[in-house]
Amino acid sequence: MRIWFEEQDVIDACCVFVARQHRVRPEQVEVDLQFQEGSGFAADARFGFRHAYLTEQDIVDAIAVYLAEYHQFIPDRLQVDLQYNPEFGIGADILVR
Amino acid sequence: MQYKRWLAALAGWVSAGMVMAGVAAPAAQASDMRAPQSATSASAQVATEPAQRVVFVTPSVSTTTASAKGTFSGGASTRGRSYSSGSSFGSSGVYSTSGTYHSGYRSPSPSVSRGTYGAYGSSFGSSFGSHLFSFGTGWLLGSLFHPFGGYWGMAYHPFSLWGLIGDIILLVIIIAVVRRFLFRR
Repeated sequence: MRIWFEEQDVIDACCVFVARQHRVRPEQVEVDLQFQEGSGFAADARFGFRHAYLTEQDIVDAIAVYLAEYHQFIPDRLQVDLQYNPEFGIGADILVR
Repeated sequence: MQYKRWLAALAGWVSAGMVMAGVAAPAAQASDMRAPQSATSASAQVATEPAQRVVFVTPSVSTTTASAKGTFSGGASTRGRSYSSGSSFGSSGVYSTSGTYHSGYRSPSPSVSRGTYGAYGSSFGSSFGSHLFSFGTGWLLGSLFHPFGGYWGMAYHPFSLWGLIGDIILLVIIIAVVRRFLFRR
């Protein structure tokens, strides 16, 4: 089974992930998704006066956490392919084994 | 007569301590995890709300650097997003024929599978509750062990031998009363 995450879904996942790590509410987190050739994907999260930097693996983890927490998926069975296209922006193709 | 006043004061302190503990308990419970949303069907897209259209601001010729800002939608959200061009040097990912960059399928970290990531929630409620509870407990214990110190009766009563003796007598009385209630036949 495959699941497609649009950019807002990836942002939501990052918000939930950062919120869990720093014990704030997801609504308080603002995420800046970034893509750069060479370094790949990254995200800069801001909540209050604090910042958190998410690497590509963190974004993958964030999507897994989001799917596990909100949709009861088993993280072990997920494989995430982050994608960037100038037309649709950043998205994620998730393969559920 | 004097002991009656002492006993009344002690009862007041104890009840005050109980009130403090009663206030602290619900506050400590206020940091429950947020309930997860209902699961969607397997084939459906995961997001329960349609994501907003991304507004592209003039993609440059070589869109090798991109950023998108946003906050947790949780329903409705309005954000501005922008894409900007940047320098290009080597790529760790793979471009498909459609020009889409793929990072490749990656598994989540083992810590995600183990569920060791902390639960989010308001830390204010729990910390405030525990502080309040600690304060109440300290106040209660302090009052128990030296109930006639501090300010009361329009005057300050520092440490005194009589106060200490009164404490001991009170403790003996309390122990006797408790034993009488708990171990009477």
